[in-house]
Amino acid sequence: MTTLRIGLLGGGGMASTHLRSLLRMPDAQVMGVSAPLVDPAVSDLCARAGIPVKDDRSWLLTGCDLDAVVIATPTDSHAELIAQAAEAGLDVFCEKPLARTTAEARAAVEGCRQAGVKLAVGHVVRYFAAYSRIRHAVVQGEIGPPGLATCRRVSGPPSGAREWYGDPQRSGGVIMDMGVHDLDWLRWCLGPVTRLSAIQSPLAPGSVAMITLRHAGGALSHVQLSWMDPKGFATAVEVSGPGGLLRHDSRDSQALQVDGWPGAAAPDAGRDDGTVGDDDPYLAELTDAVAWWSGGPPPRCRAEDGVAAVALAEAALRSALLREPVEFDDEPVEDVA
Amino acid sequence: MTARLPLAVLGVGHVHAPGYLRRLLARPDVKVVGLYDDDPATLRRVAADTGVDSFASPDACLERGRAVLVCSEPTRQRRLVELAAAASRPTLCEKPLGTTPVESRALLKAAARVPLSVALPVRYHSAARQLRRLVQASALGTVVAVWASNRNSFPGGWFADPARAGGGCLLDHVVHVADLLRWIWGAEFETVTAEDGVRHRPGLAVEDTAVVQVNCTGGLIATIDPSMSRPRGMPGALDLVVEAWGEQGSATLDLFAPRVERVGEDGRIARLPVGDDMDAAMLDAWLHSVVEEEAPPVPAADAFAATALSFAAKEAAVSHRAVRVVA
Repeated sequence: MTTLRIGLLGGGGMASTHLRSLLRMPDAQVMGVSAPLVDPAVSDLCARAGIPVKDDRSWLLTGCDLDAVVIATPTDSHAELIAQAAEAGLDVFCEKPLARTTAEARAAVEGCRQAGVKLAVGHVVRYFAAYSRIRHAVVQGEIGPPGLATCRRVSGPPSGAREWYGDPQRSGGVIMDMGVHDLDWLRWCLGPVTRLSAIQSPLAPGSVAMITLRHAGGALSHVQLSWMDPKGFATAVEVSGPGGLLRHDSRDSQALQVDGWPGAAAPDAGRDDGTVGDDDPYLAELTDAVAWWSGGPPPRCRAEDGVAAVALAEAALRSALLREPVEFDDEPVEDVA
Repeated sequence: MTARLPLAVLGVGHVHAPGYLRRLLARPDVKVVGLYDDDPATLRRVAADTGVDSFASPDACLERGRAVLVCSEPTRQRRLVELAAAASRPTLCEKPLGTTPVESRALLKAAARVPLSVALPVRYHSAARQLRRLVQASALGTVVAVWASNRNSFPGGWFADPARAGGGCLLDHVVHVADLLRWIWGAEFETVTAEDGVRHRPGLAVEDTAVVQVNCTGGLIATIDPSMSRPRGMPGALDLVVEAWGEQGSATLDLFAPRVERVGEDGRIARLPVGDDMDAAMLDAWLHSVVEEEAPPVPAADAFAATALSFAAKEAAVSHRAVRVVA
């Protein structure tokens, strides 16, 4: 088995998730982490695993003899970092959204193509068991031709180290940051999008949004997004058709629910001993990417799908601004219902 | 690639046999070389379903295997495990461990002669492992009490036949939770009280309804509802829930909560489980232990202690007295 030498760009929440996954993978070796701001979760993991951490990006990209890099930085930095990694000849896994704008996302894909490096994108919802199970059932025709899909994704407001999320210029707000997950999954499940219409309230810019999509096969879908849920992060999805309904709600689908007293830190035993999560979608998406870099089949989400998801989110932002439906010129999608 | 492990299956009458067989037949590192069952009709049916050779005698069957899975109805376990032990075949036995204290002790004795693991797959669910880690890290503070249930709707078949089942829901459903109490909290059982009855399937010869209360070492108290009380066709009829009350927080383990629901045009709701396949993980760990000649991953001694709570609970239900658990 070849071991890939991998660098990690970013020091926040998703960086720590990906770092944990990489440390569990026998065919990946983390050579270093580079970020201007590093959460304690990341620095603790690095200290324990003997992984160097520096702010200096060129040290990581060109001084560590890497095979590939994982990018988990704020959205508006993705395009530039992908370009630098491609220039250094590294394969790339980039956290979603692939870039802040469609033009940047297209340039990133083109840059990687020209440099001959592989670009994977972290549309992890494709790896969540319930979402992939529903998509499988829909594609298999279990409910007949799909009629309407509704996706809901909510969380509390961005805060603390996540501050940059709250700046719509940097993150694209709920539509680009969270909606891009559901937009990608809906496209994967129901096929190319022909038209969409979105609304956002000026009372809470970037914090709540709804999007309606029309798919080429005739199905409708609806996305509800909010950063205003005091109960915290949750997702729900349902798809209905003439043969019935498929649904999943993360809030009633937890195998383990842990609650602490109000005001106290939530009880946490950590996830670091490498035994949690047979069914860990974050581990699965990185495992697929590393296998691809090592010569295996491409992952579930192609870089072009990542571009399409950004383009959908951008079209939704435009539609909300115009208060008008927007026609969408989509690429074909593989294996849809 | 190493050669496939030849595996003989003695007893295919348990409801878990088809699931285990399906997973074993899908593995590239295992070859199921033979099936045996005390009941010729059951043997014929499972052999036809799986395409695996069937044998008229258990000895001829286990001769072919290097390891043995015993997945019979509970009262047939002892003889089959003892045959496997006499032939020195590492064995995985379906739970519980015997249907009486005498059988259970005999099976424990067999485990002294051969590596004997017991099918308690809940240990292999990642959420159960996470709860264990939380408890071991004292993340909930001292856990004072556990409310647990392992319920289903009455499955019919041999469960209605005491000669094969060897008991009712106290025997069949207490052991999973009992094992979790020991495995997660390191608790041993001190005294148990229980009530039981036949309240959901009138005329049944074994109990289908029960409530168990147990005092554990260290002060932990627990209740277990093992009843076959859920309406047939109820979505989520089979559950395994462990609610833990700690001084610094609570945790609810609900193994079958992760799901997609499919609602048919007739309004019927089917639950499609998603996520961990704990049976596959359990089989994987056991096969690994056989190939590597390691200790059995779920030792018979643990299943013996868990099953002892079933016996004590039944005794308590009959005697209307608290019973000291002997393990």
